[in-house]
Amino acid sequence: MKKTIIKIVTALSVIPLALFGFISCKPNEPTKPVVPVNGSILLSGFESEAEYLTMLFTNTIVKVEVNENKEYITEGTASAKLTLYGQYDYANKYYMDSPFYLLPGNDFLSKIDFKDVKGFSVDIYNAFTRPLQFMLSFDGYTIGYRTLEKGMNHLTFALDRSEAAHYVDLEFIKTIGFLVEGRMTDEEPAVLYFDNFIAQTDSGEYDEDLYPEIEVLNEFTFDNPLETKSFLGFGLSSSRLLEPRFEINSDLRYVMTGRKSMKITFMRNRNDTAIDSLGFRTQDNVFGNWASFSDLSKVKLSYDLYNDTDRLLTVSMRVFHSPSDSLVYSKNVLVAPYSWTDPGQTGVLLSEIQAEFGVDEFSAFSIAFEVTGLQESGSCLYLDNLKLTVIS
Amino acid sequence: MNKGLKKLVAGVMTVASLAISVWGSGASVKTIAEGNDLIVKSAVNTVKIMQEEDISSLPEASVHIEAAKGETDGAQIVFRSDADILAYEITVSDLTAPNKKTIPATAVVPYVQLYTKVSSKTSTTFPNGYYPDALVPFSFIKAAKENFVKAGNNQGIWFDLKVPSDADAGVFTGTVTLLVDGQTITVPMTVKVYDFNMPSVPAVRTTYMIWQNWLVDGELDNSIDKYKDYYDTLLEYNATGYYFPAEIHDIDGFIACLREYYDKVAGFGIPYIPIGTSDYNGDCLNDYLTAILQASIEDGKDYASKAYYYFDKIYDEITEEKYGLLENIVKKTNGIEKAVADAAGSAAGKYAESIQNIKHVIPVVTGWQEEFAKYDELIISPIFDKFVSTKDIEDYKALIEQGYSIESYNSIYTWPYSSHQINDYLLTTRDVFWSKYEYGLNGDLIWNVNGYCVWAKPLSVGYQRVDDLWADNSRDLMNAGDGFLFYPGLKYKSDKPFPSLRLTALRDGIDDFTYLSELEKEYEILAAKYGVPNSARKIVTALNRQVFGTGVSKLNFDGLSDVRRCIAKLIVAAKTNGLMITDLTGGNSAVDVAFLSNSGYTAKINGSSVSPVTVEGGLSFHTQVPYSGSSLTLTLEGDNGMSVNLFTGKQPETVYTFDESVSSLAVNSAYNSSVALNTDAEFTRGGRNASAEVRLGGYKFNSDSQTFIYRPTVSFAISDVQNLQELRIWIYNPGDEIEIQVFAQNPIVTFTVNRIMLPANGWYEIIIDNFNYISAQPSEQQKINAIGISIANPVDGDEIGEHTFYIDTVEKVEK
Repeated sequence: MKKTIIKIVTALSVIPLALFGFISCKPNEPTKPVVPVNGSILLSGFESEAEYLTMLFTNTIVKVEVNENKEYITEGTASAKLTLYGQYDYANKYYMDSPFYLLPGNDFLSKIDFKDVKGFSVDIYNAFTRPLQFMLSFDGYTIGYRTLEKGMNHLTFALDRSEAAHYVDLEFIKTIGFLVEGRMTDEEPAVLYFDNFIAQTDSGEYDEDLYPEIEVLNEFTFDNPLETKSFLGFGLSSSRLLEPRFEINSDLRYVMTGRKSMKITFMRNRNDTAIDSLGFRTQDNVFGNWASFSDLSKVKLSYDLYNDTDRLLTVSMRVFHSPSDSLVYSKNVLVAPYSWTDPGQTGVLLSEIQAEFGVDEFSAFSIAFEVTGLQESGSCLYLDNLKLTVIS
Repeated sequence: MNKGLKKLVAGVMTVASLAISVWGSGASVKTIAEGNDLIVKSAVNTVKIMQEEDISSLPEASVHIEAAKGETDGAQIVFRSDADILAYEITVSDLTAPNKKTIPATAVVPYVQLYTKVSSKTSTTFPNGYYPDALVPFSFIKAAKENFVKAGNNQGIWFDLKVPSDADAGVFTGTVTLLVDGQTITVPMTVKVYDFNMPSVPAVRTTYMIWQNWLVDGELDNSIDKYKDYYDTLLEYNATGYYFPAEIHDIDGFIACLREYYDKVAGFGIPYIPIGTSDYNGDCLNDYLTAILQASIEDGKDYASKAYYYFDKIYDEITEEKYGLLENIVKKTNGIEKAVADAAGSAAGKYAESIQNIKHVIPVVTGWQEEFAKYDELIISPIFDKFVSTKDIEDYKALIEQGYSIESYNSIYTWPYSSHQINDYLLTTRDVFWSKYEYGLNGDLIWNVNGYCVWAKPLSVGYQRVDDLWADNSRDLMNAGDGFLFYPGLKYKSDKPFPSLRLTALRDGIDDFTYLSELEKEYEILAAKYGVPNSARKIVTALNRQVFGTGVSKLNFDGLSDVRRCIAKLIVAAKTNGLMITDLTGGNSAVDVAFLSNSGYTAKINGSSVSPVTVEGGLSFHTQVPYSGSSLTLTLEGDNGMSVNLFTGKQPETVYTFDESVSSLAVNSAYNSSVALNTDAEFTRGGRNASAEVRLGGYKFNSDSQTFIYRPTVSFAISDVQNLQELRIWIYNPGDEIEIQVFAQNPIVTFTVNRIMLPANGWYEIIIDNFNYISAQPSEQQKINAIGISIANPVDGDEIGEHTFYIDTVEKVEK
């Protein structure tokens, strides 16, 4: 009798455990908080569908499944099985390379500050019929290339933070990209298993000598409405009234960081034949005297620009010298329709600008942007994070 | 149950309730088993019952469905308790007819309505709160152990019945059993099967875009197989994706699909490969057209007759800047079509002609543009706010009569326009198809059914993820539900996606359109038999006045099913009895009713016999019937006799006449307008002694802008328009054709409710039937205290003119 009672009590006790205790362990739960263990941070265990849904696979054709076959698992209870069909390029008649992205800042990957990361590792099982090329990147910056041999690949990547910091904001990484070589037209879709994506940190210790420190010197985030007053039209214009117009935008669709950006609206000319003025620039001497910077190779000028049109635009950032207001530097980037500029493309070190100028004494008079490809009156761009940062 | 066992069950239930009560926070848990009330109600299938709304006034639960053979239709019940419901089960019995024939229980799918919170108010008409949207089959909910309900919350259950195409007509009965924490509730279920088969191809062509790449954002799979899951599921809802489930430029796959789907779809899009945003790959199109033509020759089917292009990446919205692009694309496409037809030679025959008649769907926010007049290759699809006035509607009807193809699409607009938003009426998603039919708009376009990302928040590599695809419903950060009609099946391990209530309403609207179209087809046969014009559209227009006003729904939530039943009965009667209604015109005191039938019937209207006249093909009946409520009953007695309620609206009541005085009319006499009594019989309608002569004068103000804005008006006082089905004004325009605006005023705001092009030299009956356009709330409509007519200020430079009208009577029709 006593034994029976114990059994009943035990059975009843199991119910809440089953419903509560196990829930906290199920793979769909976010793997947070991220705590370094011996300097390693698990960025993704590729454990669950819920985790995969935080990733971005839209730019290829793929089927993503939870794999529980231990042969393809190196960490946790699952890995991600990707059947990569790939996107077909009809113009060139081949399958394009297949990208997918982890988007830091979600419940499964809360880490966005990668200042303390000196390398990465990831396990990829290549079940395809041949080796494949692979690339790891973040925010458009290439961390490294590897060949995925058939079978299991334990890949490691060192991160040169000094170099990377020139191109990306290590404190705020937005995308981590995985790029797999596209299949040939006569090949079946490639099947790969991803697991155990780890960031190697500086053992959790902050060591200023090991990685660059970023200091924002001057920036337009447009949180202050008066910042629009620092901009004006650039280039020929048939009427002052038809120059670009500037206003603060608080629609988060067009904000890269923070809560505000600046909307720039373009007008048709008086003859209604084209956009009247295709450019805009900062007021004179907004960025101060660059000559005061001791090492221009540590200072980066960068911006984010959103193209709110259905056209591919070319944006030319131009730097003018003070006080002669002569053009000293120009850099073009392409911006896809309804897209932000690629963060890896818009930055430039002041030392590069200075090299173009050719003399030591250099200071910016104005930063101008000229846009090619606009056609419709009322076309809009959004500017955010025009800034100077120092990388020490 | 013995006492000991009862205790054990209670004990287990208590533990289980503690375990499952994920919303609990230490408060004592009440259960159904403890005797708390369970309320089970039903609601018509045109309404959304929010999760927290009071359902006590809804009818007692029953499930009632009326449908044609082969049709799928739905009904809903909703239940709630003040106690937590720990587990519920739903089972449906077989449905049995008096002749013992059955519809199996498996034909009925119970769906659990899942609720989603709308917290960003996008409309003043609809409250924030938890709206039902996703429909997940109960079997999946049970498997996921989500078949519980929080105390005080409503839980809606939607039942979809697919009537077997070989079912007998008649009434079938059965039961729905709801088992709630041990308590059994039996809900009666009745199904009325109409005696006609739903066509396998819907009458309205739909382009509901499935964005293949974006499927991965919800399904973790965007392969063509997953696309097929979506295409096939859409088809179950009578809608079609743009292209068949075959990879782009997989010609063999496309032709296989063409052969598989052709007899199931109203239309199919031809895939294309864009080159940038201004061109497409011509070789690819050539390959498709050549293959279609070849398949037509082989199969003897005119496949191209259902084909269309939608080059959405090239010209989604045509504006003036894109006229050149449009011309280039049309010219290029025509050239490819001709080359394909020529290459096929004479063997292609009529199929080659069809290849050269494939049209391009062009959605346009701006509506019709004169530029389009030079093309007969286009299907112009204006957004639905372009059909909100009599003038607009007549203009588009005229274009259709000239041979242009017009359809319409809905966007993120919400009430008073039909939308697909979550915080909007379910009815308006559906009844817009009644107006589409009446206006001649034979198509519907939805830009995306699977927007599983936050497209309003672009990233450098795509779009922001949706944290919870089942809870976060605003993917554009503004509207709830725009861009998706499905929920991914992934969460519940379903290969196929789950529908939303909104998709179900679209399906029902498409079915309604098909009903109307079927009536027209039957009447076409009868028109030939009797040697008379096809009266279907005339009759539908008369009946549609119960459903849709000018450009806006009448919000007839309960009445829609009555009118639909009337249409269904007319279809059956046309087939069975040769019944063809040719007139149903309401006059002042009586309704003109005319109809034809096969020989051998006697007819009664409201119980009174109507004498027939023998005509070619059968019998002709014509009578004037006094109004009787808002409908009259037509009965045919004889073999397979029938009875149908024809909706006429109530008898009009006179509001104003102008036999002796015009004091009820107000004009702005300070600015040259006047009103006077007219006794000239030429401008008086029969039966009246006099009318009001209204002179609306022009006035030149000191300010040009004021002169431009000013509109002379004539108006009269009115009250309680919230109770009106219609307000009618008889007006004579002795001058040239002129555009007038009809307005309604409250003490603060003037609403333009209609624009009408008044014909010259004749009487015209202005019908104001869209008070809902002002507001869906009767309390807001009640504030209206005047109705009037205005014209543009008749000033031309320094020349000040005037325009004269005669107004005879103002009548109202109560709801």
